[in-house]
Amino acid sequence: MKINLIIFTFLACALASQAATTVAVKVVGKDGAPISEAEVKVASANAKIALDGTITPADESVGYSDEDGLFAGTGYGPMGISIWVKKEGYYPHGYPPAKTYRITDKTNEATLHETVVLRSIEKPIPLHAQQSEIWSASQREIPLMDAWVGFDFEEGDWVKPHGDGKSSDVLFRYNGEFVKFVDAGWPMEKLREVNRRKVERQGRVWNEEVFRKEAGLWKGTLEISFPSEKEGLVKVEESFMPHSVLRMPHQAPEDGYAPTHVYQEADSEPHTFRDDVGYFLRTRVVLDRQGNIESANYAKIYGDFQFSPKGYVAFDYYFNPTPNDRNLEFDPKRNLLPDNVEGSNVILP
Amino acid sequence: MKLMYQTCDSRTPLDPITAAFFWRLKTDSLLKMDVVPDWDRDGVIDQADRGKVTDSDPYRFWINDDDDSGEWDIDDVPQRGNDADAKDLQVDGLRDLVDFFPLFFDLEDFLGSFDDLTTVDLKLSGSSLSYIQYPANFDGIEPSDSWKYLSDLTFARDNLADAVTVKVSDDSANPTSLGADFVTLASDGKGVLLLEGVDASEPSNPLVLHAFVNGTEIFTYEFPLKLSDVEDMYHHRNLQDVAKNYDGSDEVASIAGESSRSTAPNWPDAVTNGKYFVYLHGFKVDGQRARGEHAESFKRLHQMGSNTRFVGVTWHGAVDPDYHKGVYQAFETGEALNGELGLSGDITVMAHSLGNVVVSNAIQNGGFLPNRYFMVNAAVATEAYAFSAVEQDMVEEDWDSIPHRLHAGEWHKVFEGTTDARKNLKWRNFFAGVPQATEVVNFHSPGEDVLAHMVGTDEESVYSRVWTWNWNLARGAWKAQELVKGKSWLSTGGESLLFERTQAGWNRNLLAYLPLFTNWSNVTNEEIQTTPVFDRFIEDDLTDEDETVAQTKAAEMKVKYDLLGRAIPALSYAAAIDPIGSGLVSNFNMETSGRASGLNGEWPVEGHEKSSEDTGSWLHGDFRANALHFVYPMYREMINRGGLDDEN
Repeated sequence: MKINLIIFTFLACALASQAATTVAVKVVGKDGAPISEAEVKVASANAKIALDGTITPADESVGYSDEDGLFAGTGYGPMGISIWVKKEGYYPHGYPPAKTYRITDKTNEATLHETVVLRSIEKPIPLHAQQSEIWSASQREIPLMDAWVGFDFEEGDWVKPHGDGKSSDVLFRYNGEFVKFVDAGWPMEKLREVNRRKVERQGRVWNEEVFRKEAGLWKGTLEISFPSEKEGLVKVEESFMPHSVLRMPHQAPEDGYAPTHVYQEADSEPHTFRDDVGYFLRTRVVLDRQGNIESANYAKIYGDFQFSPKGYVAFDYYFNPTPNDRNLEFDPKRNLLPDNVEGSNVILP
Repeated sequence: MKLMYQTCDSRTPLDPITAAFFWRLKTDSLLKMDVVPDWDRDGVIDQADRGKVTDSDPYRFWINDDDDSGEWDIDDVPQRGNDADAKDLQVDGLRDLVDFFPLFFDLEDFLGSFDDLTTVDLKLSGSSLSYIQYPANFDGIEPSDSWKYLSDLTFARDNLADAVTVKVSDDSANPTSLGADFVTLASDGKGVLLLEGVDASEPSNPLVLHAFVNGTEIFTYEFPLKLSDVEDMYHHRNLQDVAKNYDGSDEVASIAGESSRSTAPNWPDAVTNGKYFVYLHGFKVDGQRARGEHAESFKRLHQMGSNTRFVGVTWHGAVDPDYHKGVYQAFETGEALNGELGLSGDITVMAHSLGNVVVSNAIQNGGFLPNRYFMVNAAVATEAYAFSAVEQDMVEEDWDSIPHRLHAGEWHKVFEGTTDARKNLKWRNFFAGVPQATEVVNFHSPGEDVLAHMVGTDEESVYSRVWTWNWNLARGAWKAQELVKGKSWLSTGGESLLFERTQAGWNRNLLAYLPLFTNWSNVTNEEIQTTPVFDRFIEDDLTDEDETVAQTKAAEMKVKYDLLGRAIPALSYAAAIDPIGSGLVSNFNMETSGRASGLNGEWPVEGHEKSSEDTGSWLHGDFRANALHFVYPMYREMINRGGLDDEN
């Protein structure tokens, strides 16, 4: 009780010196034009729980943007202020499955200004869509080291003989190198023994090679390439919007595709792949006699290709099987991959 | 059991009533009649489930004596007396449905022989049971989809969540009619009834089906059943007295848990597959709340097919608001866990939140070698398992301009490459042995609240948290307790008064290093070995000029635990919200893979209304608090990975 009284004394002082923050949100379309009548919610992370357990929800302002696309909400902001925007005909901003849009007020300014871009819902279509995550069951083991291996977006698998894929949309080649054993805080003999026991209890054969993969820290390189001329990928950085339910532009661009891309990773270093970028890909290119593109298919990747130097790769891709259709606005209810394919439960458009 | 697969021309003499019944049917064909549970609890009542129930091996289930409500709740403590759910003759929300079991009355053949089903009445008698009275125009439950009441959200919401229950008569001379609608469902092969146990006072009486035609009872069918309190279906270990105070004195839990139990009378070892499943709760769970967590976890796994021997562990983590003390006690409990459990064979262990410090330390320093380890919303920094990088956002704002090597979390580097025990005073890779010793799956949720990233928040003060009085349940509370390590009561506005052994951490040694007059690049490793830039440790020996004295102190396990809990800030986010990298651990994203399919964005509202950020997110306790309908794939994942549904 004594402690509580002291805290409440400080609390009183603190409250006396605090002022609310106003967040002025401007809602615009991709062309920068203001969008009116969008529902805007501004909420602070300051829910209160009374001693009796009663919860008082966080400060929250909800309203609609005016003809200039403006709405202002107020809250107490040191713990963070989040902004959600939605309007019929547009992909929501800040709502699941998009990432929450959160700002922290450390400026002590009375008003913060934020601009939110809403992407319109245009023409969602069925696509082959599959998600996978590195260091999880959905990651893919690259079948060979130091050799090019193709992946078929339409089949969602490695190209034969390593899988059921028929046509290579993208090629991977990786090299991995053992660096050292992890420092497990145990003598090497104990590390070896507990690891052997673990592996054998899983019904697997334990040997030095397995041990190096299990207990080793590796470094390696992943090269990405394409089978044909004028195929490639283009990185999306500025127009990648993790807070929008539609993260990338609706359509793949007509040009700007690079034929290769390289990742270097080391287990003992921070991984380099990011989730705030994406890629458009052009694959299955057929050229006419003049070397112009007669036909091509397009795909997109959300986030970087994720690579583990132990020989694993993961990526979230969307593939349009219709030649020359650059539309990659996915309708999550119409995935062309069957339900029973792992990773086909894709909820982002 | 009577009449199962018997025919008219059976050589076994029939009793008069049965003979009369077959005479009326005028048939020589095989007449299939059966009462079948989902014996293997695989969601399908089929041939594999028939013929399993016997008088000596009855169907076993628990009585519904917790107090559920709605779609989200955190209670689940059994033995609620008059508040027990089975007492109020209704289903108490979606969460209550886990306390019902499906029973298939396979009477399609029998009922198909009647031109007029209105002449037939099906009745039940037996002690201690109620069943759900289905609403009008109910489509029924197919035996091939017997999990539907636990897995189909829309179906359960629309038909069952608030349905009335009917007590089964305990007078066999006056049984309870199931009504005409159920007769129709049964005639369509959809005679699946959902039942709950009411009390266990007469636990061994069978459920009896009475079939009446034109008011005459023509046969009865007994279904052997054994009901008990749910706590009679799993083991329990009470480790509340394991953890001591730093000075070695006893630390007494204010709310004691149940005594340890090494038997489970209603789920005896003989009916299990011999594997163990051990569950540990997190911080701020007292002895009674632990009962609720154990009960609910057991029920969910059991309903989803687990055949293991479940062991609930109660440990003393209810020391709120002193989270740092909770961490210390988790370490201590972990070191003793293996010996206290005394288990051998195939062991799967699951821990929630701070329970993961208990289990991880048990593996790292306590000789515990389970076959597999499921971390759920683990309140442990990812760097403890596989360090990759310092998260700058975990650095307290007062230290932004001070080189990392001078932070308390990096002090160990002074001793790197030596045999000095102080090199181990770090969260970084402290549990690196864990993924080497066991198969680890990190069930994490990017929508976490308690262990949220709170990007941009890198200070802890009265302005940010204490005034909201939500230290333990709030969004970002875990990060806050890392940022407050060592801070003085003045700089936190009193917050650090909540902690009994404040030291080092993010508090500066202002006497030795004046803020405006220190060139940090000139501060040497030799200096900080005895005079760190951060505030003093309570154990002064750690910085003694005599290295032998310092090393001896640093090698004491309780010193390590004290410093990790109270003085050494973590420099990465927790495994609860992020995958553990480097490929040594398998990660399972509950947000994307643990949710039931077909939810169409539905998620409980209750429990998710503290802020809009909570809306629709998989929060810290949702694996257990959300009704099973939302989260059952996570449990199935555990069962599949552990082979927990292997038959005995």
